[in-house]
Amino acid sequence: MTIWAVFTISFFIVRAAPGGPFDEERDPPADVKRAIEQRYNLDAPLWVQYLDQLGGWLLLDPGPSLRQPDHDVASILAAGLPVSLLLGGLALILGTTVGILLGVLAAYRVGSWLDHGVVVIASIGISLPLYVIAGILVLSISFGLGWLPPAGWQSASSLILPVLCLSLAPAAQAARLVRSGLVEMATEEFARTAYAKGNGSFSVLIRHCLRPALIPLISTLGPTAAALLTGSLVIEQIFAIPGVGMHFIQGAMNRDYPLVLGAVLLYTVLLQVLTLLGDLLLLTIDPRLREQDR
Amino acid sequence: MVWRRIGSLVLIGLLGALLTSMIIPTLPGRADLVIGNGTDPGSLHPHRATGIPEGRIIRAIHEGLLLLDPATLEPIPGCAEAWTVSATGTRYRFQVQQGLTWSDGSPLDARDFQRSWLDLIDPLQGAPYGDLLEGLVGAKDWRSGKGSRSDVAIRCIGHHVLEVDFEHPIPWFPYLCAQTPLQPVHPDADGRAGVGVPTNGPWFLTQWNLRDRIRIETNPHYRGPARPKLATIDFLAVESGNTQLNFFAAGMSDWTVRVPTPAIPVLRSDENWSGKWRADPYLGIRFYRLNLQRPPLDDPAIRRALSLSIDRQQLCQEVLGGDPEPAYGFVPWPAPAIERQRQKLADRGITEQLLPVLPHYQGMALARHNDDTISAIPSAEIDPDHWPALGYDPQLARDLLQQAGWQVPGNPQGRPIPRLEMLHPSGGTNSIVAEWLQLSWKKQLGLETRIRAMEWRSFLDVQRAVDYDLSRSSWIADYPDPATFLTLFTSDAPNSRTGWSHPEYDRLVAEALAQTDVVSRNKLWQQAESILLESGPILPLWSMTSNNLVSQQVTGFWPNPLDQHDLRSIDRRSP
Amino acid sequence: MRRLKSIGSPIPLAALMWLVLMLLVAVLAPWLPLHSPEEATPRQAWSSPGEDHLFGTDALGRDLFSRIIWGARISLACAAAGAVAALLFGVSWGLLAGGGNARRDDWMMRIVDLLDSVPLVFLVILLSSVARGSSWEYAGGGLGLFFIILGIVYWTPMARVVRGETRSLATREWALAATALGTAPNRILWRQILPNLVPTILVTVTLIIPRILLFEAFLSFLGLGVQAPIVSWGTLARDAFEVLNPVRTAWWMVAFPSLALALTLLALNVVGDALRSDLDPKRQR
Repeated sequence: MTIWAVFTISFFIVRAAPGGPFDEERDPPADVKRAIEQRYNLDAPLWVQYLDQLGGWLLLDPGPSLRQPDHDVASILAAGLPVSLLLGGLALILGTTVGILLGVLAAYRVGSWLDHGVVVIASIGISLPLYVIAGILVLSISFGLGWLPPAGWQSASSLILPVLCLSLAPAAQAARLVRSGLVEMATEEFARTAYAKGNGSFSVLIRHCLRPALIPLISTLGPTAAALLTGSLVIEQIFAIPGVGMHFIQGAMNRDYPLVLGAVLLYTVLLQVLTLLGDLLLLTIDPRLREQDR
Repeated sequence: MVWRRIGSLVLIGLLGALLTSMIIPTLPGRADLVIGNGTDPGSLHPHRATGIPEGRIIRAIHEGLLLLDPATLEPIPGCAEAWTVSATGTRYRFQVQQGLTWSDGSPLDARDFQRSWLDLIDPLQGAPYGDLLEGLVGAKDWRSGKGSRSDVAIRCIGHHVLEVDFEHPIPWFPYLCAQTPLQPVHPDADGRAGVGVPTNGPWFLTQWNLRDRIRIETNPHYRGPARPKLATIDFLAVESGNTQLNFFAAGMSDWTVRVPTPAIPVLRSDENWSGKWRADPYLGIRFYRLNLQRPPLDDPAIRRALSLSIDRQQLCQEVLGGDPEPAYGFVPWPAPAIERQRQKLADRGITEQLLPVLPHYQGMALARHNDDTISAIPSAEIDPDHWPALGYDPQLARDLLQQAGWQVPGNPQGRPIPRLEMLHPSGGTNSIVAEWLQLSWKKQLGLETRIRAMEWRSFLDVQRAVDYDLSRSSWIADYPDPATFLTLFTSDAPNSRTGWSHPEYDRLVAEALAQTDVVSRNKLWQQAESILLESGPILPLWSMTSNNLVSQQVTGFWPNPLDQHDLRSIDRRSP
Repeated sequence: MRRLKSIGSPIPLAALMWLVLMLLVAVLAPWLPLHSPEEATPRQAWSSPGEDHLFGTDALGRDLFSRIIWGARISLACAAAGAVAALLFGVSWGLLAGGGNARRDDWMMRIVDLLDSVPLVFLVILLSSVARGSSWEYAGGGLGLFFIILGIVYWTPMARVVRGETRSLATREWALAATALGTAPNRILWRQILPNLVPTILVTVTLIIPRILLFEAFLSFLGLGVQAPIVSWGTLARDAFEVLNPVRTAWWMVAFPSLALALTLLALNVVGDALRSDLDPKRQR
């Protein structure tokens, strides 16, 4: 239902944008353009095209891309998706792990310099545009130190920098959520009981508070993951990585209607699935929610 | 318990590593040559491709009837062993080499060219460059629905002779035979290109990783005249100039076609880079289109003043990094500009011979005479030393405006000039140039402008609707003849986008196109260009340069005005 | 009166002062003794920091220091516009959804869900192309359209937060009591619940503004940001990226704008965190 609505909205927004997919500085003559449009059925009434596209997507065969007519939209997305999944998945794992660690560290000594330090470190990654960070990293690590390739998609070492850049935002988010969650939990009665039993504060934090403190993090994980897994234009462009993130923007700018619709649909579907997964994860982690559902 | 956890972690790690290695493509080593090719190619089908990155690949995996000599751009034999032109200049006859095959081993002869060219013209196939062959007898009729495929004058005589007839002489036709749209297409291609679709060039496509790289390898069935030296070539799809530069600096590519503008002055002057930076005259012109239908640009005084009050030399030297040359005419790179470019290269220690861009044509330039009148004169009559400051005279610009009754700085009388809107597509140098123009006009003429940046497709839409005052434009030659530039602004030209119409101009262009004699033909082109410069809808800015960053290990790379570097002649020495 | 403990400690205080300083220079930019941010002297392009130009110059020889200050003006205006949109639209949407019956809540949140299911960039690119050429384009000195787009994009997170809080507040005893006493539901919403939401809303605003500033920078990267010659921190960051390559590295063009942007975002985060721990009703026990 949501997916259909998103498709419909996107379809009409894309078509409302001025300019067409076959416009160039050197425009083909008008009748040639008409012939091209005819081939792609772009001269039909809009609602016919709408039904046509909708049908195409239902059968998972939306036809060729308008800008890269040698390839089907489905195969273009299928070529980019594993790349984005890998990159985004690694960044998600790395970011969340580091973020949780930092969050615990900060919550362990609330208000101390350690705490402030962690907050600042966690925020630096999201205080600058990603492309500036990526540029600085490439310049210093690839060219200054000569350690890693500056870009490309050909070896595991070319993954490191982009994953690092991509994981900054989820790390910051996780650190922030975990810290505030832990700080809050530490004042709850069960934690006080645990302290009273003579447990050390660190073990209380880890054993008793961490699990409930993760709940807000997990509930934001779905959208975060969807954004990461569908790629990042900035990272893909700077590191020359063939993921799907570029299609959202290039597809829209090139007016490659089927391609950009495909990218949007991909995002929506992933978002739905991941939100569902996030909810399931919540259920396993927080038994109370299961009770509520009944 | 703990062990089981560790075990499952290890398992997950292994699975992850396996997945990673599956997703990252394994390349069989570095290719002999790696080219940072710019944007990911659209189509690699000769009839559908429009861009320069596509052309570079297509011309490597196909071979046309003719090739271009990499150093001189003279047409040389490709699939055709020999060719003749009739005395009228309208009939071409090609002798196609015997025993040619496609990359799958199936035979190829003149009929394949006939079929491919007819498909290119076919109005229903909608090839964007189909109009290149509109001069053939019967082609225009077919395209406008009056004739049919069989009426087009492309004939096979036997299997190895191809003969074509044109309505008018098309002196640039041999050159076209080497270009992307006229390459032969395999009968089973069915409108698509890609791995597995046979081609006939010295290389064939073996890998097409979208948005990543395209690899081509030696075609074992190639029997043509070229003797290519490189066994494998990679074309990297890299959108961003910074990334291109990074690839090159890290030695991961040998030739890069796009660099960020701020880097150019350093590339020119720094000794580490200067020998690798090739900025050669390129048959392209950067200009602004003017909308003559809207006041105040309908007033010639304003148009003159706009042009006179910008210091193009400063623009080229200090804003654009020094490579481009100021343009005072519409056909790029007239003799004085070439001369200055040669001097610039010599200053950098490069003594390569530069080809004249259009050997037979003397471009025009709008220049001021001693009596303060301004008109177009052949640029060859201008001393190269006077060239840089040729069209820059802000005082004269203000005087002209004042005479025409407009308000100028230092003279508050007269009508104020309405604010003008400058349209440009976002990205590249467009914005910095627009800002520079805005500041120049503000300072010299007190003229207010508003900059309007739009993303590419919206920009084209607005430009086509002529909904602008000034709009950034460029035009790159389809073939090396003034016609490719000067037919742009005829009343019926599809790409004029200015609404400008000038009967005398139309007449001169039509007459020049029909003229057989080179001298009188070029005289007509000069007259047409003069009209365009004196009353036309354009504000020329600079003659473009190619921007290639080429490793010094690469040999057989020649500067040329089409920026086409046939890979057949290129080699890479091992370091 | 609540005690503002956290915000009084040194770091958040410094952050707050930085924000006030930025706000002041942004507002006062036209009256400050600066080079013009638009005045180009190409001959002085790429000057490194020195007496004449404190922070050096850019590709057209424009003074970077004054460009950063004028950029603050535009960037903070963008942030303000986005925040105002979030406040007006997001807060009322969230309030109406959270305070209404289950059916209203359901469809109103469904719309929010739907909007959040469309990728942001896609929406922004196309909305800006659709709107170009309409009279919106030039409203507010060429920034009107930009403001509207930011507003459209950034009201949903606010609506979500406000809706959640409203729902939990509406079931509190005092709200139920007010309903029982016959107070009109809307009156309860606006007069009783809204004031209690102020802390949450403030905190959310400090979280949204950094996202707006970064998004503005992202749009500049795509060439869809504010239009030249207007300068913003986003366009400065874009210019910085252009010189982050092994051939030309103009460190001042990277360092100073980045510092201004990073410090501001950091300050916003720090102030936001401090506000949250000070204003969080749960901590008032």
